[in-house]
Amino acid sequence: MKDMTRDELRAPKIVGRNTFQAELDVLRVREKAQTREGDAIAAARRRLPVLEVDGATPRPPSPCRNRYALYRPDGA
Amino acid sequence: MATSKERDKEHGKGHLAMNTPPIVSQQEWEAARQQLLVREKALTRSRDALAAERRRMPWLAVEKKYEFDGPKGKVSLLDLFEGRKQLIVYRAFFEPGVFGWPEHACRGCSLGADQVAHLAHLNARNTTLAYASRAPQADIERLKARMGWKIPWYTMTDSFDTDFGVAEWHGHNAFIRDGDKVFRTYFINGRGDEAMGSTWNYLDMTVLGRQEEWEDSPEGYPQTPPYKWWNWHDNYGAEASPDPKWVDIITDPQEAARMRDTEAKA
Repeated sequence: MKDMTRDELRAPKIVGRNTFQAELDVLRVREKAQTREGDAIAAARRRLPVLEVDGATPRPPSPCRNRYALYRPDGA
Repeated sequence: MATSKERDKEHGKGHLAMNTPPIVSQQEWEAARQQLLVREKALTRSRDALAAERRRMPWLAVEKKYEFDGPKGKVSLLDLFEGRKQLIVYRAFFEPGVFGWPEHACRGCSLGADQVAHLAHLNARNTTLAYASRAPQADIERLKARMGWKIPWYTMTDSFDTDFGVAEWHGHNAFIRDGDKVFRTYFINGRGDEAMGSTWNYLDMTVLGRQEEWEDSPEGYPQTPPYKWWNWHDNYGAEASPDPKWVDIITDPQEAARMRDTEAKA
């Protein structure tokens, strides 16, 4: 991949240490909220009801092999 | 409460000695899962949105000339990029005074090193991962050989750790370079470090992100279609442009499957 310069990237402004830290602190609040939500979801997973599975039942073949199935990160 | 001995006995028999949720039918289980899936998806979207915000952070110019010891001698912060556009430096604790020294690095950092994905994928997105510690190179080389780690790993020699918030605790610093100029662009530490190791989470902390078209990035940032750049870790060098068959599969998976079935029957 070709290296892009700051101008080509129309890069965000360059700031001093204090401003950078202040911006980091703002995002840190969201980062932490997200970590907590991940923990809460994991807690909910542990409380999901359980489905009994017949261990002897063969698993269906992998869809990746059979149909080139792909997930879409854009959710489409 | 059961003693640990009793619990061990229970585990040995394959029974869980705890209050387990109710056992339900396939339909009820699916309904409960779908309900939770709504929250799972919301979290995924919120992670994407946060990564988009990270990409819009202002940059901090790194003016100081930091020096590290590498396997081949003295190197600069710029050298750590290995010629790529972006760099992530993880501060790992491996030095005198850290539990495990000199045989091992810090247990948490070692667990983290064990979950680092194959670096070929990250490197294919113009991004280098490096570890940095205070231990001399001879010890780092020995540790890497012992633990089977392939990550580029440098010795800090100056105030890099203090200046980038990792003197006392671990953390990931992301940098980008413009020619010879280096900028600090993001910092993840604490429990944020737990999630690191996957190619996606490394890319999500960088300025350029995953560099895929679906991402919300500032205008003009490099992006290619999702999947298209994906390759086997041992094939990035051999395949300069994506295999046309792979491109067919990602463009129209169903059509590609039909063609494959036809070929198989022929």
